[in-house]
Amino acid sequence: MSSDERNTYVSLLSSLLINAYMIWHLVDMFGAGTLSGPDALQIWARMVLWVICAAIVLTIVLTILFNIVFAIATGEKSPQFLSDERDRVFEVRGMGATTLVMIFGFIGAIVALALGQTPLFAFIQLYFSLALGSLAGDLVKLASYRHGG
Amino acid sequence: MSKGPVISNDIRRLRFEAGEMTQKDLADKAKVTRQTIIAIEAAKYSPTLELAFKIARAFGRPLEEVFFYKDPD
Repeated sequence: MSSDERNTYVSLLSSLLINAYMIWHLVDMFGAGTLSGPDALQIWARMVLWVICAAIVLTIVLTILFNIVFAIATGEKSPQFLSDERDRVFEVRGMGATTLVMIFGFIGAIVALALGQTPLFAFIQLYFSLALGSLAGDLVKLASYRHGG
Repeated sequence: MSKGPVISNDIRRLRFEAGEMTQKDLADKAKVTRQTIIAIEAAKYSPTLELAFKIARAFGRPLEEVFFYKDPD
């Protein structure tokens, strides 16, 4: 398994964990009425900033752990961190999928606003289109690594 | 629609003739990962022209003795 493929697994796991937490927290906040007040957008923005920081830390920790586990499992004394043209081809393919999902999410958010939804709803939709885009990109990359290209 | 790889290769045989050169050795010579060599050898990935030349050079052979192009019909 190349280092880029390992990193894609880490990215996938990290975004699944972070977004599961995000959904759980959002449901909790809506249930408690926290996002119904006039400062809802501010609360939402703070939560997103916090989640971005947590995602960075989580990804770093998971990358280190995953590389240690991989080195132990394969017995590699000096794991390679080389990425080559094949990695770059799959990266571009993944970015294509990410961009496509994000564009649909963006258009969806604009349509929602045009139909009278609140800005908070549009921002939530934008956030999850970014998250889904990242997930789609990782899945396309992993499928490319598994089935060639 | 294509029915199989358009670009095939003789890397496995050439590695054997080069004293059972390992995929790792070839990867190091071409400066790519072993996974890329595995994918190319299995015709699951078509390398760029630059990498194809590097692989051919690692065997000391011209490009057309390592890679073959088949018409997709």
